[in-house]
Amino acid sequence: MQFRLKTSKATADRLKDLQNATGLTPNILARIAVALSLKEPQPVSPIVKDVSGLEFNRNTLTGSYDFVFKALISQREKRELSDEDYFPVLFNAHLERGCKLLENEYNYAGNSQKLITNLLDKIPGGSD
Amino acid sequence: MKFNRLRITNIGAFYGNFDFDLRTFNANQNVVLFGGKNGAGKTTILESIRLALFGPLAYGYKTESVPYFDKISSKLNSYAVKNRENKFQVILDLELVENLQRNVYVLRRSWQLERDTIKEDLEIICNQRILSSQEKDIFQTKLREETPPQLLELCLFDGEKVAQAISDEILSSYLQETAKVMFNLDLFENLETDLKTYLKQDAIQETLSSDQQKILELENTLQMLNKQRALIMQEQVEIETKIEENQSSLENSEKQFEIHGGLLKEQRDSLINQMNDIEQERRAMMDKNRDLISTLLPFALVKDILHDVNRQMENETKLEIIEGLKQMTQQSDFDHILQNLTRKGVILAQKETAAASEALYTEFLGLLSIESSEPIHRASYQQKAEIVSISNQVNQFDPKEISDNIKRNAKMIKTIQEIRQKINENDMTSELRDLLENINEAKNRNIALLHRKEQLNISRSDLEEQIQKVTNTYLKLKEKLIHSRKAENIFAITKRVLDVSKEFRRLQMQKKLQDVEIEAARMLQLLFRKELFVVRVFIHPETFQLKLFNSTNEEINKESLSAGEKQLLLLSTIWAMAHCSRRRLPFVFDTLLGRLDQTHKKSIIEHLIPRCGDQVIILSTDSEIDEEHYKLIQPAVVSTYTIEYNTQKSTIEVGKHFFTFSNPLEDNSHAISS
Repeated sequence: MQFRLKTSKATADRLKDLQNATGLTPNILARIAVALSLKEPQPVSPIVKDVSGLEFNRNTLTGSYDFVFKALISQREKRELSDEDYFPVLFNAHLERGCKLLENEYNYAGNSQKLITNLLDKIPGGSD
Repeated sequence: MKFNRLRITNIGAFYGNFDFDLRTFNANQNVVLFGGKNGAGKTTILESIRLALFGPLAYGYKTESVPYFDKISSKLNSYAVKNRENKFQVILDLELVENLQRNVYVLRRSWQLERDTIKEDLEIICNQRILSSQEKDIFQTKLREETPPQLLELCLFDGEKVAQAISDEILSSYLQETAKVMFNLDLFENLETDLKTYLKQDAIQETLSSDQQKILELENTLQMLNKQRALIMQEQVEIETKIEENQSSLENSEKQFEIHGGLLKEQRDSLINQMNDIEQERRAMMDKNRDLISTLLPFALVKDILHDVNRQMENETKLEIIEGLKQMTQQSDFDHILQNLTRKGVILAQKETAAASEALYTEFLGLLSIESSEPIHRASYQQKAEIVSISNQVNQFDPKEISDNIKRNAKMIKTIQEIRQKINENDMTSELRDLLENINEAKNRNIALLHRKEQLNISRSDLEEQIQKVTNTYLKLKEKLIHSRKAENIFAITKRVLDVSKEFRRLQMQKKLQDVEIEAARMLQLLFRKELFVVRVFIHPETFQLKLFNSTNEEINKESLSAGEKQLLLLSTIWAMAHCSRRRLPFVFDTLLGRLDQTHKKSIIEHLIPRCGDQVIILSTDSEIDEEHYKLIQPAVVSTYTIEYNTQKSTIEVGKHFFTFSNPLEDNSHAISS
């Protein structure tokens, strides 16, 4: 079972910038980023070669929601995933893509509160 | 004054102790005769008497100065000095009539040599009592006043100076200086001088008007100063009132400050509380927001996927159940079910059982069928529960709450800012501030007032000091004025006294001088060989110039007189003055008869000497008074001395005889009898 994750340099920079802008910690930002990536219909490219950025502990990143993330990613892939596939491979891939998306969102929103409001607008309506 | 005894020790040529008895008895026996050749030391005797009497004054020095001691030094016996003897002195015994009482004085003036410097010591014994230094001073002053050296200068007659005296008009100044003493007019002159000094000291005449002016000025100054003081006092009172007013206003302001400040403080506190509450609420809200964002937002964002996960998991569960049912049930089970149901009469068609059970089984299985068949999650029961829980939470998650919270947060921040603004504004513009300003102003005013008060106090005390000073000056001046007013009278009186005194002096002098003129003329007539050559002697009462007139009232030029005649003239004049003053003065004639011819000598011995009072000391050479004249004078002689310089012994030998003319035994008998 893998417990560590290393981001790319670009992702690390983005997370740091976003942390400065929003006051949210990198792990929270990473979770939001992953969620944003999951929303994208296109499949994610699982190949992340650059690992010179931040190093996360798995516990810090997913914490008590580890299975939820695995279920979400599995559901998104529509296949049963090995633990290895889920973490760090696909999680990392979603993190890379999600950070770009989040950065984009922030740049669009202009401030953290607007960012949050915009993100809230992205929540799908209805419940079951 | 009368000399009784003269003792000389180591003075001049007198080496050793010498003792001369100078006592005489009456006008008929009034001569002490000293005989000595030129240079024997006769003049030393004359000088010794002068020195004993007057000390420095004998040589015209007022104090014991260096020149005086130089003079003394030259008078000390050189042989004694060489022998380092340290006893140089002159002792003069004399009698004075004071307050109708005859007092005997012994004047002992001695000198001591100490390393080239001379010290003088004077001892005065009055009636065998040594006088204290104070009494000595008094005596000396009295002696000087009553018998000034000038007077004695005339009496201690130095014949060698006589010719000079007449031709150089020294006689006039001698006369001038001695006349007033002789005739007791110096008393008046002294009085006049004193009065003048008194007037000058008080400067009454000059200061009178200026003092009055000054008093007026001082009065003005005083008035002005008093006015100033009154102003200051008025201002002081005003300031006191102002200070009181200010104080009460200050107290009032402070009271109000307390009241208003208290109220305002409550307001302010409530605002701050409000602000704090809002801030707290905002913080809690934002924390909750952050919590929601941290935990649920990512999942809410993929809510749909989460639903899919949920459904997939349910399906997977169903599939599992179906699989289980398939494994547990077969078609025969449904045959049993149909047979049982037919037997119980629930259904009636017995013959179609087989076909019916097959159909029933197929339908039953169909009922359980689902679309998907491939499992994705293979979730455990716990994992399923987890997903359900998250799903429920996400479902309950209201994004509106967060956005509302964000909006509320913005509002709250604004509110807080407003409240803060309010507080600041309150702090800045409230009545409190006004009051504070009032208080500060009042305090400043108080300080300024107190400062002014202090200043006024200082000015006032200054002024009072000044007033005191001016008042003192004023009073003093006034007193002086009063005094001077009195003095004005005194001035007038003094002036009158002065005039009277002067007039009296003038008249007296004139009268006395007339007497002197008459007496001098008479004496001259007696003495002069050319009988009636001089009929009248005139002495000018102011210049004291002496003029002689002959029988035809023509002035005789004094210069035309012979040396001898000049001497006679001088002798006559001095005698006349002494005679007219009625003072008892001893006459000492030094080389009295030197220039006179036999006739004139004879007439002097016969006429002048008997008229010369109680004591005549004659210092004479053997040619002046020769044997013939000695016989003439002898009846009047009390004692005789012959002094002779002994070159071998370097001192003087004294014999109690007059040269070889007298019988020493006879002289001795005279001495003994006296």
